[in-house]
Amino acid sequence: MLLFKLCGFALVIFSCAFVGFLKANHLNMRVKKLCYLQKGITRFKELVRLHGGETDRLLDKCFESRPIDYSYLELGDHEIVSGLFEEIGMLDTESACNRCELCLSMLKTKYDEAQKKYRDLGKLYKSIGALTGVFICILLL
Amino acid sequence: MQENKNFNSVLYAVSDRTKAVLERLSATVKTNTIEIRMRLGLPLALTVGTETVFVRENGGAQFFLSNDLFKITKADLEESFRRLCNNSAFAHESEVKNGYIVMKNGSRAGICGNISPNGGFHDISSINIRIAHEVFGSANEIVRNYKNGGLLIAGSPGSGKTTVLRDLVRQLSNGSTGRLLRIAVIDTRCEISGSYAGYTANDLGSNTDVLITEQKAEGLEIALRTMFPNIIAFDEIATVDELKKVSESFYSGVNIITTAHIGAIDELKTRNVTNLLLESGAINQIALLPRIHGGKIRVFDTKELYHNAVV
Repeated sequence: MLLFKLCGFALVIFSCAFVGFLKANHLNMRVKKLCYLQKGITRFKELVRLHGGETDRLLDKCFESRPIDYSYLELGDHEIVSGLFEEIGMLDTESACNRCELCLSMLKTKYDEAQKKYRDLGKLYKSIGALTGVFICILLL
Repeated sequence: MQENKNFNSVLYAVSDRTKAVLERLSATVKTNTIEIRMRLGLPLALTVGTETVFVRENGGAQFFLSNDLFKITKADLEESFRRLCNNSAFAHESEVKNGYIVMKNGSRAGICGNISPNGGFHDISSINIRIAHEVFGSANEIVRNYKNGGLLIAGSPGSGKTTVLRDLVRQLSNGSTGRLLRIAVIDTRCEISGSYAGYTANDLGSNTDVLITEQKAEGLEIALRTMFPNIIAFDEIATVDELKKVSESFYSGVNIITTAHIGAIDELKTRNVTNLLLESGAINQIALLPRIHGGKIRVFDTKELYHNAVV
């Protein structure tokens, strides 16, 4: 009986710690994804300036997977990037580069914000997860 | 059915609404259509042969204006422009600045609207899609009479100068005269070769190099110095700069084949550029295209022209 109880407590603590870890990982992945998008768009801008070809071809060169994977991003982040590729089709080279520049500066703001959030909340989520598990176990006792 | 295939191959570049109407056209109209004209707020028009035909909302075609014609909206034009440049106006900037976009199958779309100094395009008012077509054998008459020298293909606008030039290049390059001739084509608007992303949509023969450049005169020099051709072919000689380069090639032993807009044969002497071209001695023969498609092409020596034998 005691063994079952111990197993149950371990399971609760592990599950709660895992949820906390997932939450912290989500924040970390958003930071990484924003960094990846910034790199891709910077490369895209360079290729536009060098007359490297049409949008589809350039996107293939700049991003590892197509269509671009927007997982882990917030709605605002997604709108910034998709807005760029919706508008860029009608623009000349100079305007397209300027539009990329604007998108990059907006992504930079989002990136700084995401990094700060991860620094502040990442460890907290991880420790809170485990602590919540322990707290639930104490309550059950 | 080849022409019908060509018609269908340009439909990727029109808006969904317009495409749905054009797809309902009869096979005869599709086969004979050479242009699709979209003008803001005006009925969708086709050039079928030499006539203008309007398209009804139900997909029918007629020669007169009426209330049930399919009208083009701003959204149609913008969607078509996006599709024409594959959602990449910046990649087609040099073409757009010159008012056209080369399409995937070698067809060409002319565009009217506001062009900003840096090449941006806005407020598009009309798009004219010219469906590319190759007519194999259209230059047979010229090939039969070709004397291995400079040749000018003259004709009125729409008489098929480029089509004939394309077929002539193909035949000469493939050795129709008994000798495989090395030909360098200077293609300023990709109209001769139909080049798209490095590939040529039109058959220019197995011994032809294509140089795509906006500057014809510079292109002539590059072709002359680097490709070592027997013949340099290009469309529409128009400036004195180009003439100078033509003279240079003449003295280098390279023959020139080009075209010129000529309404009537006596205009060859009255138009400054063509007159200078003939006087330079770079042209030995002139092929005069008939005004009506299917008419006979007349080929004669420039000497005959100067002795008033033809005029």
